[in-house]
Amino acid sequence: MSTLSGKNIVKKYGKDTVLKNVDVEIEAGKIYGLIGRNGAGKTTLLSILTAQNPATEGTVTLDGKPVWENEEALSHICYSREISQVTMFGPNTLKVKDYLGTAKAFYANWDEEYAKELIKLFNINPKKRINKLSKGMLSAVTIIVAMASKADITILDEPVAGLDVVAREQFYKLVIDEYAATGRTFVISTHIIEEAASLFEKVIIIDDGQIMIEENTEELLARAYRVSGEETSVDAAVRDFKTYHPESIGRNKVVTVLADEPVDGFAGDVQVEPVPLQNLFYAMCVDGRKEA
Amino acid sequence: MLDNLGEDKSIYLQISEMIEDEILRDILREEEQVPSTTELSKFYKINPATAAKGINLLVDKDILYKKRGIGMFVQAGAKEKIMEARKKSFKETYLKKLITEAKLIGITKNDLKRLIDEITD
Amino acid sequence: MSSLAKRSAKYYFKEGLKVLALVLGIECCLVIEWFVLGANEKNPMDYLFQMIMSVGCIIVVMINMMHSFYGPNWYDSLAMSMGARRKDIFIGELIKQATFVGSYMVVYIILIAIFNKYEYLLLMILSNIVSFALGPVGLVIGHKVHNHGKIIVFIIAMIAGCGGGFIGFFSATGVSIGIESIGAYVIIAVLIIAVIIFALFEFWAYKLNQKSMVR
Repeated sequence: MSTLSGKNIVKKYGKDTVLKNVDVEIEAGKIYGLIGRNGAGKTTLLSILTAQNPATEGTVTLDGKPVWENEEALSHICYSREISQVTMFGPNTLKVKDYLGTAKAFYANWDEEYAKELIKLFNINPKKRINKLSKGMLSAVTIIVAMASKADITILDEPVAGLDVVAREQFYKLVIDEYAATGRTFVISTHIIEEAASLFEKVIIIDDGQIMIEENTEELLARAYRVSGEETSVDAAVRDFKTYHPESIGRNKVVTVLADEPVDGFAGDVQVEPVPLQNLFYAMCVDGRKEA
Repeated sequence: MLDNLGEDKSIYLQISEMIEDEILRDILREEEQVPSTTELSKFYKINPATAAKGINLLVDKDILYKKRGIGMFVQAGAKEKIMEARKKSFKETYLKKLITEAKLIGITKNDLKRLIDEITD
Repeated sequence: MSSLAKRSAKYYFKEGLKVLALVLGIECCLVIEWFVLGANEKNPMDYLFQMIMSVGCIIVVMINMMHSFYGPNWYDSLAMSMGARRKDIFIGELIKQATFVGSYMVVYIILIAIFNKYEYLLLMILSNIVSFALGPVGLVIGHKVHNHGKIIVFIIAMIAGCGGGFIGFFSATGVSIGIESIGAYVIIAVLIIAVIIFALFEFWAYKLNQKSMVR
């Protein structure tokens, strides 16, 4: 098992630079969370890492060897993304079983038994056509492809998007079961952060085409703090640190701090609390971009 | 998703503390087998590596030990070890907070002593 | 051949067979209709056979191009999203078309042989060759639609409309555009043009394929 790594990746669509010098390393045997706002470049990055989209500049390698058009590399990777219910010519009338049949044809390690179990678990009718599926069933099909591919590096792009909370929990449990049994690498991009945060050994935060964080989740959260109190006390206490999203109400001020290292304590009369991943992400990205 | 794990501490620490609590409460007895990393990760819906970190912390503290091919077990004398360690950190973990709050709302040392007597009766 | 290449080849071979099955299925339904229609003709079997041959030739020319048209946006894109290489997809399209057109031709040759209607042989072979040549044209159009959207279809419809208009004008007014003078060399001309179109468009399709991506 090896590292999938992207170096200096730049992606431009015409004049629009969607990814700006991105460096990312996906180490083997870990569960990664990829979080970012809509349009931050998550899907573009994942497409490039899996050679489904050419980068304008930069290289993508698996175990040191380029992934582009590389049979060996591609056979270790599965990128399961949202299935479109409309094609350019009308509704997508492909049947679920044909879609899964194509997956079976291409993924060398496809596990048909496992796929059948999952079809039952998510209660999918394989004869149904893709344009007739509900949002939840659509997500379920992408999950089935990802899990049954048994690929060493499995990437899921917003797998829980259409799922209700019960189905989401089933998904998380599936990932843990599979990871515990096989140690496959998972990269999961999601907007529903807090639920999944405890699943991610490492987290990658992308904003506006740049990687802001690529770190072990626990280590990241160990150096994040929510500091609150009287305005001047807070300002004094956080003076030497990187802060995000300050908010005030009356004389009370709250700010999110991301220190370089875990801090023993903050000077002065301030309240210090830990920051959940979702809140940290929010604080880091909310003020970042200029809204269109 | 976390069942009853909070946001305030690293998850692996919460796992190890939870196991220590169970040992203290005799829910887990000495020489008994502890749930495996996989079972813990599935139950609490956390990354198995995190569960493993929590367990390994207890192994380092000599609270748990590994029986090759079988699993993790509670060390003999674990309960005493935990009680000793917790006694040492009691002042920092619980008392400091209590005193800060008491000071904030104007409870004196004598008030405090009276309150403690009231509660422990 | 690497195993990913093999799996891709198998996939496209099956796709070719699927198109064949679809087309033959449609034609079987049509045969029943023609059989009924031709019941009153002087020679029902001749009528039936004429319909099978003429319509069959038109169908193969159209369907191969149309099915390739759907490739880049649909099943090629699907294959790529599941790890197929662009190279495998390019070869795969060739395999698919060859499978379809090749098997179709074999079926028709057998029909011709069984019913001893060798007068249709040349027309049928030519049609299959033209069909195979138009396959990459469909691919190129498919790529352009995949990249630029449905506007391409409108542009082509307009070009075809104008072209049709010109031909109609010339045939209606009797103005010669020189085709009649070719005479018996039509067959060779068709062959040469087919090969040129095939080579040009395959090359173009290859270039487009190399840069293609899953949208």
